[in-house]
Amino acid sequence: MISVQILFKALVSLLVFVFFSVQISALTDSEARDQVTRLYQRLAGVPPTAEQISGLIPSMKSGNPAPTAFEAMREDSFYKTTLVRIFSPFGNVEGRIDEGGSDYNSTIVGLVRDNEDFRQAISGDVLYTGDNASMSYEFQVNPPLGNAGDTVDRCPLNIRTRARPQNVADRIASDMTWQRALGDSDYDPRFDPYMISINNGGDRIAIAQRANGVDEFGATRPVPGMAAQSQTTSYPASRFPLFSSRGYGNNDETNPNLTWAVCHRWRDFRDNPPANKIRPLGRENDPTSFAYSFDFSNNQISHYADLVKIPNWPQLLIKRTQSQFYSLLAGQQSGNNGQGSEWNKDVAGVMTTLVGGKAYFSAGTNRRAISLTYMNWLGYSMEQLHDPNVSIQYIRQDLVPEETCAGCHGKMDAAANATNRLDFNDDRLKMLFNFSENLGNKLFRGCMNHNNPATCLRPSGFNPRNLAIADQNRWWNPATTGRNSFLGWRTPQGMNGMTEGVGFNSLMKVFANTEAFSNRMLDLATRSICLRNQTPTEIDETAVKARDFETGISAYASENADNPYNLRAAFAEAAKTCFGRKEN
Amino acid sequence: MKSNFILFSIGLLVIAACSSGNYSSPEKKTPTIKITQTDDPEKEYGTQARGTLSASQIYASMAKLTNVPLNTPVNRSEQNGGTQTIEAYFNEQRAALPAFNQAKTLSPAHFNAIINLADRFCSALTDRIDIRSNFFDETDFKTLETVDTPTALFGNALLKRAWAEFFLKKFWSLTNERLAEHGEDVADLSKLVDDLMPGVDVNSSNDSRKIMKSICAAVLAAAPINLN
Repeated sequence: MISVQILFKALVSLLVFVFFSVQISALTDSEARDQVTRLYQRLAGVPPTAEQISGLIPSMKSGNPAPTAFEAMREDSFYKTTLVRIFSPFGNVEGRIDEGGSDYNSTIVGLVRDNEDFRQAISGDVLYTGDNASMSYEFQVNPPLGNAGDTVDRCPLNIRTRARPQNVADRIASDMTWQRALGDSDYDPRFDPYMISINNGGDRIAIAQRANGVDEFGATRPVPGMAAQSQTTSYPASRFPLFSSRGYGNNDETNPNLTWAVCHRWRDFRDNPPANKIRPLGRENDPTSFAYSFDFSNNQISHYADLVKIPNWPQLLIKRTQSQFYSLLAGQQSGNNGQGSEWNKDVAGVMTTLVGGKAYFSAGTNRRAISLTYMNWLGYSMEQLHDPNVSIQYIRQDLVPEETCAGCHGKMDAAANATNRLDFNDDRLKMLFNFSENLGNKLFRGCMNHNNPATCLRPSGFNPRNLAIADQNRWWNPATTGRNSFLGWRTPQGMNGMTEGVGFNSLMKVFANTEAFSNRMLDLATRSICLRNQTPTEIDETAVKARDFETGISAYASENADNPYNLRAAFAEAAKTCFGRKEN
Repeated sequence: MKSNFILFSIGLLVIAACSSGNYSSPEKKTPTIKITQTDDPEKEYGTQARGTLSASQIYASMAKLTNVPLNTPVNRSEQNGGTQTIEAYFNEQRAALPAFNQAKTLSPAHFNAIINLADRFCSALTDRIDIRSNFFDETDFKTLETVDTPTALFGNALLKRAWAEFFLKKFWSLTNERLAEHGEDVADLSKLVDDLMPGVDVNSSNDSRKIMKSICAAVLAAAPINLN
């Protein structure tokens, strides 16, 4: 029988507990102001204004730091500094913070800014670039480029003329284009709305705005946003005296009549876009050469380098379809609309960007793509996930699976098979349709002759070439059972399973759909806000928040952050771990 | 506050009483494991570690607070000629600024770099007429005429206090009401002016600019902006 004395004791304990709870949670005005300022600074990287602080104190005092977090996340510097600092180390092998412009950082920033499902970061067919308006700009012709009597010399840029490729019809009679921009919403680099035209008659130069372009299927279509009629501005030849002194039309002929002034102006234009403009993607490497070559790496680098020079660049990003973009580049590269080209179509968010390609698919064995995904996006190193009981069925021929190796390679090699057609080489990410020499070197290291399995370190090892062609990038995921099942594997929507599939994209969808992925996002957010590791109790609490993150948090509807996997919501939830309460 | 403390103490005593041996069976003596503070895995529960802004965050903060365009060319120093944009200076010096957000990673060299960067922003604020007139609007320093000597601008305690409060409000997001909490900071800045005065020409308005730049850099590089 419960005695009165025990009941009294319980009552007193309860009262004391309530008393302490109130003492712990209620912040004074001064403490709330301090926490508003601190949280704001940690997320935004810049201080709040006095008005912002005053407005946010009441919610912080009541133990709710989420309004402060959302207010801070409206600052451009949240995207430019905080977000980039958290995720850019995942885009290189060294784990280095890289705050420069890149397709990797831009895609992360764009997804968060647009309140997208953040699983797309590693599994979506998505790429963020600068907007079309920033990529379109005209050659500045005022002041005049040259004067009669200027020194005549050979142009260092070797400006040449050539016949236009047949698959790029031109609405303006011209033998010369000089900028190819991603000018429309279909991302067709051949839809260049601006071009410079030199009249073969030799008396005028025109800067033209095209109204029509030709799509990849040869159909003439209007360029979105362009006037229905071409708008051509002509400039008298007297402004370009040496330019027009000679007829053009000879292919690949160096024009000896260009002045240095023209050349330098042209080169400046190529290398230095006007203020707040971005060199376009899909641009030919050297628009003056018409070699029709395309330097993927340099083109990407110059585009994103220009982008981040614009102070409000996170606001300029627009969402593209990554596979479509690569396909169009392939068409431009090969001149056959991408058919049979080597450009990658098995895309997976930032993993298959230029930066991701360099990090995950260059040299090595492509295993890095798997081990770094576990490490960066799920939060566990391969060593932490060592499972001696995992099947060794898919371990490659370059490895003798002793117990210490097999525990990691059993699952890593099985999953890495998904990357068999991906290779980063020649500064671009290729998709290989058949095993080339290069890919053979990746997969069959440890073989004296990779065409002869008998010469391999372990001839009985797994050899994907023994599979049917369609299955040569099939993957398996043995981590779903055994000790690594704690990662919370779940079959993604639209897929038939999580233990087997074909292609890198489907594998990354499985990774992005784990509980560990969500836990990791909350953990990253918490660390960046509290600046320390979580305690065991906080880890348990974070796991609960992560489940809410997966389903969407309705309380954040007013911030447009109530959708599933909204990373802004994750930051707001993470703030509750160490803000809005008295510190110990 | 005092009553809170008394209640708090009573609560502690009650808890101690409830958990003492008086209410438990004397036979059930279970071994206790002493948990020291360093062993407690929950000791940081709910707390925030101290932080600092990273290089790019410090740069962004100073740009926001001063509203100085980053492509503004400023003098490399008071003595040597030549100019350099703030952006170029930051790119050159960013390695000297904090790389991480944990305050425990800070070193004295970081503080030097922070104040040097603040000096660049404050040079733009005080040297460039267009920027100065915007930031110092409604003050005599806006036009900086020959009569605006150090004596005229900083010659008495009230003026020094006014300038100190001007910068604290601008950079530390303080309202008039909250300035009262920062009396020591105001006094420190007034003292800074006192320390600077012996080295300047009290009749030169150019030296007023130097003093103003020093106060500006001291407030802009201070902990409330760069530590959290």
